[in-house]
Amino acid sequence: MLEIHNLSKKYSNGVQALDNVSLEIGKGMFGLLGPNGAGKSSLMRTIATLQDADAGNITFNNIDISKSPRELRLQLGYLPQEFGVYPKFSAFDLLDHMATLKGISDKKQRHEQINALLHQTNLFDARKRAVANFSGGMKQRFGIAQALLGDPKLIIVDEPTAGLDPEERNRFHNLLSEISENIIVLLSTHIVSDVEDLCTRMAILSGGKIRECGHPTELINRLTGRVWMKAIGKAEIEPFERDYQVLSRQLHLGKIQARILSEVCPEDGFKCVTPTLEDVYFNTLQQG
Amino acid sequence: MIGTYCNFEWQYHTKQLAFVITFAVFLFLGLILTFNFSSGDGGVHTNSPYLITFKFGLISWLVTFVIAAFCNRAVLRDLDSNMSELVLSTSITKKQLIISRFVGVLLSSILVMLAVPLGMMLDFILTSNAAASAASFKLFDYIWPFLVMIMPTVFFISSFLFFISVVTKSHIATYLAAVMLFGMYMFSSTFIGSPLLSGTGSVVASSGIQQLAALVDPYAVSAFLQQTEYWSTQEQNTLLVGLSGNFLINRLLWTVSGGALLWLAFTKFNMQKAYVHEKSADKEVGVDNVQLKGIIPSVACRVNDLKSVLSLIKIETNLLIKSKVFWIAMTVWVAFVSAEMLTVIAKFPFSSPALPTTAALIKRFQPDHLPTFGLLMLIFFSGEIFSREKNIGINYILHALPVKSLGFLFAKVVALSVIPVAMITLAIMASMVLQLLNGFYEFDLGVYASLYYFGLIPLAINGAICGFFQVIGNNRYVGLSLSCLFFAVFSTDLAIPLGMEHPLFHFEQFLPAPYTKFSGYETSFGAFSAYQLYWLACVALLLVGAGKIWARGNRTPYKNLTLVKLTDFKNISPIPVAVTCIALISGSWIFYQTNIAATYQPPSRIVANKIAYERTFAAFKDVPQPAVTAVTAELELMPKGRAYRLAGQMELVNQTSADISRILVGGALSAESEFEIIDAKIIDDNIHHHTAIFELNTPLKPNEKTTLNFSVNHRQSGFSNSRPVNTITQSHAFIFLDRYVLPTIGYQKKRTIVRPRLRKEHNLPAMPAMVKPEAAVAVDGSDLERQGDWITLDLTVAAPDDFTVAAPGKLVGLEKSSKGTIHHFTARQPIRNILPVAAGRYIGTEQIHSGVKTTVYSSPDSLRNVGRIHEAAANAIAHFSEIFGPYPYEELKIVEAPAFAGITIRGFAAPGMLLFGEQSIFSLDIRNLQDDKIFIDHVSRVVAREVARQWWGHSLAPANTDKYEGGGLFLETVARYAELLSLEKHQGRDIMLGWLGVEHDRYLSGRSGLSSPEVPLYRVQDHQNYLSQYKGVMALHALKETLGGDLVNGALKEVLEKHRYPNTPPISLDLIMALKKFTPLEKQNLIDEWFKATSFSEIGIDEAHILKIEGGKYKLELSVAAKKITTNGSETRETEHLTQDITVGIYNADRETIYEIRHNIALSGNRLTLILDEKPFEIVLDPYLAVIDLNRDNNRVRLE
Repeated sequence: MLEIHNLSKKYSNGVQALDNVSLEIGKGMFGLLGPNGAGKSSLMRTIATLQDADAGNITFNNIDISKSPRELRLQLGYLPQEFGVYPKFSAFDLLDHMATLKGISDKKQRHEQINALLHQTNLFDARKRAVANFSGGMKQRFGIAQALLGDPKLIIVDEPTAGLDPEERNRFHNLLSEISENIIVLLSTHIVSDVEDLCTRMAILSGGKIRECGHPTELINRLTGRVWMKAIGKAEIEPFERDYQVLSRQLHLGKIQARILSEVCPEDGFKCVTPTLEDVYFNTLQQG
Repeated sequence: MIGTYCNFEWQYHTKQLAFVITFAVFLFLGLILTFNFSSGDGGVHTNSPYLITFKFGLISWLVTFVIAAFCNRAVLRDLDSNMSELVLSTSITKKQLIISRFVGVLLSSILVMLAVPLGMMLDFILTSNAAASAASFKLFDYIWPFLVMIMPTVFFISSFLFFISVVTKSHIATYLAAVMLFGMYMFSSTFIGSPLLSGTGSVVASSGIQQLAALVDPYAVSAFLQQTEYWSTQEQNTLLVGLSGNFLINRLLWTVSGGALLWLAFTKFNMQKAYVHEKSADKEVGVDNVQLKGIIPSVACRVNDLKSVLSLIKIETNLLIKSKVFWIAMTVWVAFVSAEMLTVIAKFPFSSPALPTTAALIKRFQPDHLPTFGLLMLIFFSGEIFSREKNIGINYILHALPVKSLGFLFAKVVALSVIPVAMITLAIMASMVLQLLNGFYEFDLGVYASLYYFGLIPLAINGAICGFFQVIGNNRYVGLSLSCLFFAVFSTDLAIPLGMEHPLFHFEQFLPAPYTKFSGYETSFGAFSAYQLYWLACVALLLVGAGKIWARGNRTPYKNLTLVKLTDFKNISPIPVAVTCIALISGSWIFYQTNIAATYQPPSRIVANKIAYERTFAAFKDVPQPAVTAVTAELELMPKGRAYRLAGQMELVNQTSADISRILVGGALSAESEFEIIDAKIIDDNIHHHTAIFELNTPLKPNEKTTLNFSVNHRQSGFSNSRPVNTITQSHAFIFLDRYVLPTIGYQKKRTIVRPRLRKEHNLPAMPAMVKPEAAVAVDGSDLERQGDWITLDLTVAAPDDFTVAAPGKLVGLEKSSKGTIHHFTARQPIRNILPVAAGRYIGTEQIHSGVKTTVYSSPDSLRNVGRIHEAAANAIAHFSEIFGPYPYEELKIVEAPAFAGITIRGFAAPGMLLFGEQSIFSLDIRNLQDDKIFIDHVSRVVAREVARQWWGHSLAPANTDKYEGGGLFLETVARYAELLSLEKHQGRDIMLGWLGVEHDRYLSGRSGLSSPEVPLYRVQDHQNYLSQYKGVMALHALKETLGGDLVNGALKEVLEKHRYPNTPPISLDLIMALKKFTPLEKQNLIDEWFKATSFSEIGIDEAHILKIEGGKYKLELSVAAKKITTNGSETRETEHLTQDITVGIYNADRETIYEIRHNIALSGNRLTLILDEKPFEIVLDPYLAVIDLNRDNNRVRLE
């Protein structure tokens, strides 16, 4: 169990990245949704022991990670949003190095796991090539492979599918959901559907604060019967914006597909639709 | 528009915090350098144009690294911050981009350098210095050198590094290019004889190479030194460096090169490609359709710190040695050390190539270049290695791994140590290749291996310190600046004003004593090791601290510092405890050995002690004191314990005409000593100065004797903060009994401050002026004070049985005893009180030359030149006996002294005994000399000179040279002259003249920058070697050429016979008188001109025309310029009249003489018309170097 209590972090430039964040995360996949600058990466880095919080604490299976960061690192797999690699090192050698640092001392076991991961991430054929010369997608898959090295009990992945094509993304999702049966996987993303598809629990973060937390279906269900949709002309949107909470507006065939949250039908022609996680997300942000 | 861009660049550079810090550092340097220089003696003003220019040159190479940082910032910042595409997609053109970026670099660099003169001016305003040694303030003295010295340099360096940055797109390659520039500067300094390299000594290079050296130095320091080589004090104080000659060519060359490089940078810069890293992305590996292949095998994870650290070390090392820049750096290093080692063995006509022994070759880089270059590389690579993860962007992944912070840092420090390992290994390989190419196959692998101990450990420690500063700086440039500042303060004397003068604080100041074939590094091995252990423990502590505050992940370094304080004391780990214990124990041990077991004198106390000595005992300056006339002593050497004991008696005789009732006796300074005078009591025992005043129960009447008993015990540990002259190791002992061992009698001038400037600074009265030779005759008559004591000697030396002992006197007995073998030396006939004792595993080679038993004592590794040494000694004894009379001693011992004895290549003469350092005659390369007559045999030359001192110095010694002027003529001049005679006889006239040319130039450079006006030769004082050695030999040679060798030699012989011990010691006028006695009246003014005046000639051929005339003859019309410059210190006069006739030599194409005659140039007019039988090829004025000519280059003309 990963428990986050009243976590706050303010950077030296005055930005309040985290503001009294509290979360309890159990086994399974936990999605962290939020717009850019919401504090997702700050939260991830703080959990990954890469920075200290100004206030609050984090415990993982009752270990206070600020006091015993190494205990957490021993059980951690981390994929940051952006990363680079050493030049001139092959995928295999680099994974071997990282696996050693993760404590896989047995060479045979280490190599077995590395090969399995290379297969999983479809990099086996490229294992002898320099990672620095990999394309964006390959490098991202390498990042995933290294995060899965060892037997991490907590996996933190920050925007892991950025740069992956749909098929790779799919594959990665399958892998993650399989792994997450027994461990905690913390997935940060701004792709709502990822969370919807994969996560058993989720939180929405904005302005450094947790705005919403729960099971995706539960959160969606709260909006059942309250989301209305209609295609309207561009010029007609204004009165709705003034009188209703417009969750989203999407352009479709020159018209705006407006989704409105309302207890009653805003106007003739509006259809009550099944809410999505995206509706929850926008609703939460707008309320925050 | 371009103005806006330039303005942006200017603001960009100058608004950085690093810029402000750099500016402050340069301002500080300007201030400090003035301070440092002014501590020297001198009539040269601290703000003289010469010194200002010199200091600019000194600092200008430092700015190179600043410019490298500016260039990297200007060229690579877009790449580093992923801004390239944004910048390049704006409307800026290539021209605007390049010009604005370069202008930014140039202006910022100039501004940084402007801090230097500002610092100097600030110092001028702030310190009292201004009043004491500076002239009035002249702004132009700063502006002009800045314009001609700094501006072209800064322009070239900026262009060059800008170009490198554009082409390589690599930070470190730009820094390496900066190191390479520094290498070029060091290399050319080696040939010019820069004062910066006075420690290593310059190479006697041909003028062609000097010309080249003056041109290849992009900083123009060499060209400046070349231009000002012969400048007098007055000229240094008034003249500005001139835009002429090599200096002008140098400035033009590098300015034009700078422009060309800038143009190249412009053409090489490609807006589309050149601004992004060229990376060949792999082809995307297609996603296969295979479904998930089962879950990932589970593994056992248990962190093994050792394995983690080893893996980190492996990867760090791999990254380092796989990088191009590392190999570029190593190539620069190998090229530099190879060039340095070549200077040891390079054969120029008058250079003194040494045998390429391992010790000789590594000496060329081990003591200075390896630490300096190593440190520079460590500083730069530490920036690279410590900020690598952050720069690459892998830090978040790695830092979230379960590896201790200390593990990461330790691996990086180890990787840094790979740099010195590679440097040492490559230098060894280069050295071996040089040995092989030279046909020298005796590789001393032990000596090579020792580099890994003595060279690597200090550098590894430096690396850890650089790493520490990278951690606390948390930014490559801040770390780099902090490292530079640390080493600038703690590796130099700058730490002393901060109260950290004890070697324990004085980082890395304890260097190993030089390697010696006699006992390796044993002299200071223990001390060196203890210091290294101490520093290792200290840096380990620093690293542990760094591990705690390291900005792991996204942290700011100092936030953790509070965490450490609050939480870590409870469960402190064993590593810091262990290293703290090691640091404390080793530090205490060093302190005990330095301050308690030995006598430690803080450097800052040295001057104070001297002042105190003078104040305490000044009253004894004029109190008559007895002379030592006999020494009977027993010396027991105990090499195993590195100790010796000396006990015995001295016979003291009142040789004055007054009664003596009080005697001032000084004991050994760095040893326990006791002494007593028979029938006398101590009335003042000054333990602080190891000096006591005895009062005799009955005053000593003239010619009465008394006895002083003494005993001295000394044990050495090698921890002393000064290198002792007298050293005993387990395998060798070298002790000058007369220096700091035997008690001294009377007031000791050498224990006081002698330098006039220092005396003035400490409000001490000026030293009494020396007695002019004329006054010496008038006042003292025949009662002249002798140079030193003349003693009879009875010395026994107990040494281990396998030791051979060499000491003055005759070996009269060898006897085994419980203390080892007792060697008994006696000198019944008085000898000068110069008593070196050398004992060790010598090989003695004995031969009889002209009836004189001659033994060469060398180490078993130095037998190569022994034959030549004997031959040279035989020649010298035979030749000089012919000229000066019989050899004055029964024996001649020629001894190889260990490196720690401080005997230079010049050698040292004791009574009947010559000492030469290891790098001297025993290791000079004389192979194949016979085959090539253009090379001088320095072994024979130096041996001849030192043998000559047995007559001139040890048979005759001048009146006390501390008191009377002119004594150097008998100690130095005649020995040099004898050397010249020997050169002419045994190596030929051409070699002799060639060597004299070197001495001629040495005189001219020696007189430049004098602290006081040059005195005439006959008034030479002790320290004025440029006169007694170089002008002196020119004078006697010129007289020999003009008046004849027999005349000069006859006069010398007469002086010797008349004034040898125990007769009255001579003064310089005696030599002049003797010379005049044999010289016709009309030529006597020549003697006066050489000895009693200071004058130079400036002769040269203006024009030479040749015309074929009837009868197959040739008419030569020669136009000659001649003038004489006479100076009396304050006033300089020029005349057209030369006292001396000038030889005009005309030679055919086969170098045979067609015509040679002496002309009085002034009398015969400046035009000469000569009818010659043969076609002339070359005309030379003064081919036999009979005048001192300020410019010899225009004395030679070849006719087409």
